Amino acid sequence: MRRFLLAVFLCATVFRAGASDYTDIWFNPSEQSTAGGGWGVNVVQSDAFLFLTFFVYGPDNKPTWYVAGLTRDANGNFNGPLYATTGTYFGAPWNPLDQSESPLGTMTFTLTGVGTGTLVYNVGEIAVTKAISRQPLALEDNAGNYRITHTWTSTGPGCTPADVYSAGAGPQNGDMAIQRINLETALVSLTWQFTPVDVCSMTANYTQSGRIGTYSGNLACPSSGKSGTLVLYEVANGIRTLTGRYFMDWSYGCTRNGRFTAIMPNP
Amino acid sequence: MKTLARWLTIATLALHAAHAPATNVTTDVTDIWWPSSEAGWGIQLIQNADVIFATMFVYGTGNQPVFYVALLENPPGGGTGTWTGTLYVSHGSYFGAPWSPALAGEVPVGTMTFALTGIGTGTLDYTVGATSVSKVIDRQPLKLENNDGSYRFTHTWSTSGAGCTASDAFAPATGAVTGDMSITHVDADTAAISLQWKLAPVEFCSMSASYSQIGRFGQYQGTLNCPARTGTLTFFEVANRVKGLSGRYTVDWGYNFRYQGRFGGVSNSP
Repeated sequence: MRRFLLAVFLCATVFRAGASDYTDIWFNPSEQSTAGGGWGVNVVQSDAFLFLTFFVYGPDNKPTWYVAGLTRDANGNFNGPLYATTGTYFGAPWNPLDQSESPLGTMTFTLTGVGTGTLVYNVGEIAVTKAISRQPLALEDNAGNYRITHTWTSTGPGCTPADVYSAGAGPQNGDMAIQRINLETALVSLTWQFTPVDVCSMTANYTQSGRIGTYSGNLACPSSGKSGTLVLYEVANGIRTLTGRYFMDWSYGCTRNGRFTAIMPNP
Repeated sequence: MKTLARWLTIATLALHAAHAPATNVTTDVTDIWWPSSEAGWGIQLIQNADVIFATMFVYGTGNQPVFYVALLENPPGGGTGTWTGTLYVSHGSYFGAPWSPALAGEVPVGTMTFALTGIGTGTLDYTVGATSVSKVIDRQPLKLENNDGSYRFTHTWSTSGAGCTASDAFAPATGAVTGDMSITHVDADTAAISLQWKLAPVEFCSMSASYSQIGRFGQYQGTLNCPARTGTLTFFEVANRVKGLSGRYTVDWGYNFRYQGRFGGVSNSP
């Protein structure tokens, strides 16, 4: 792993970031226990590269771990070798001579949804396929007022010229307010001003999938008379900022797929 | 203190609300960390609101790999940059066999404390039985993020310094201000960039900046040249999102005046 990590560190290359951010703790919800002892995989993404630490149990049921560095292929899946390592006992001074790494097999990680994926790996002759999902730890509290910037693409026979994103005008701004109206179930109310004159609101359900959240509800815009369903997803809570994507399905036969960033007004 | 098993069960079955929007008030510590001089073991931190799930990948007395886990919590009030929790070792079904809950369990073995000492540095203190360990750890960069592109951004800021004028102050009534930013790597290996930023409606500035990768975060630093003034600009905690950027910045203007701000940008290309 040391050689592998050093190679990564020294030969960092540049790729365009892709679709979703995989960084999270992933697990199989049906393979946990109320007594503890679940297994999982930690994923840290940097550009088109995933660093995975895979915590499982050996034939003696004792904890062990493997590490993998996966790179994205043309299909958007991540593939790479899986390694086992040895090293100095944590209670002793670090000795590089204790370090070794052995390639064991390969691993593939495929995202099947925003919060779900499939992990396929082999350790020697043992081949394993697991459905995994992001592990939520705590609800993010995104309550607050934000100024947003967003871009989108639109499709559908009902789309009007006003629905079409203008590359010349660039991303549009708006204001968004999120207020929890039910803490336990994390329902929120949301008001979003799309383009200058359209003020909309919805009461949305909130779900947490690992580190990202999803708001979904019926959007009503009294000022324009428009309505539809809005889903804000991959909502990531940053430092007084939110980033995410959205899907809006207007009732008049036009959908928008967009991305947004939002920042709280208080510095 | 909740046990890890109970915690994970609660988290899975019935998420409870966070004490506070902690990732709004602390630097996101999610990353892989290890001492740069001890590449071979590490700890992966995943932050969600005000809790951190820590998985520490180390070696036992036989130099064989073993992992410990902890759920670290921020003290009440949050925002301190220090998280503490119970450290557990667990056992479970062999990965090559069907999962059996009857084989799973965990045992508390000590405590763990992680303290953020800088954007990319921290201290890790833990005990396993009578063994106490203290390490200085760093975020580990895996790849250079490529933030190239044109962005429309919004930003907020606070000001300090005797040279600050009224027009420099952030106006809450106006709210966050919009601008445009373009980033072009002019040297991929050293990640130098050129950057243009329209600060406040009528000011166009540019700089040639050095780029460094601190774990998942990027940092740009350089001299900002504007038509009527110059300063030193640092973008830090720059996180590459899906066609978006978020982060913080400081600008030290040459006339005893400083901006400290936050920004979020979205790519002009949908």
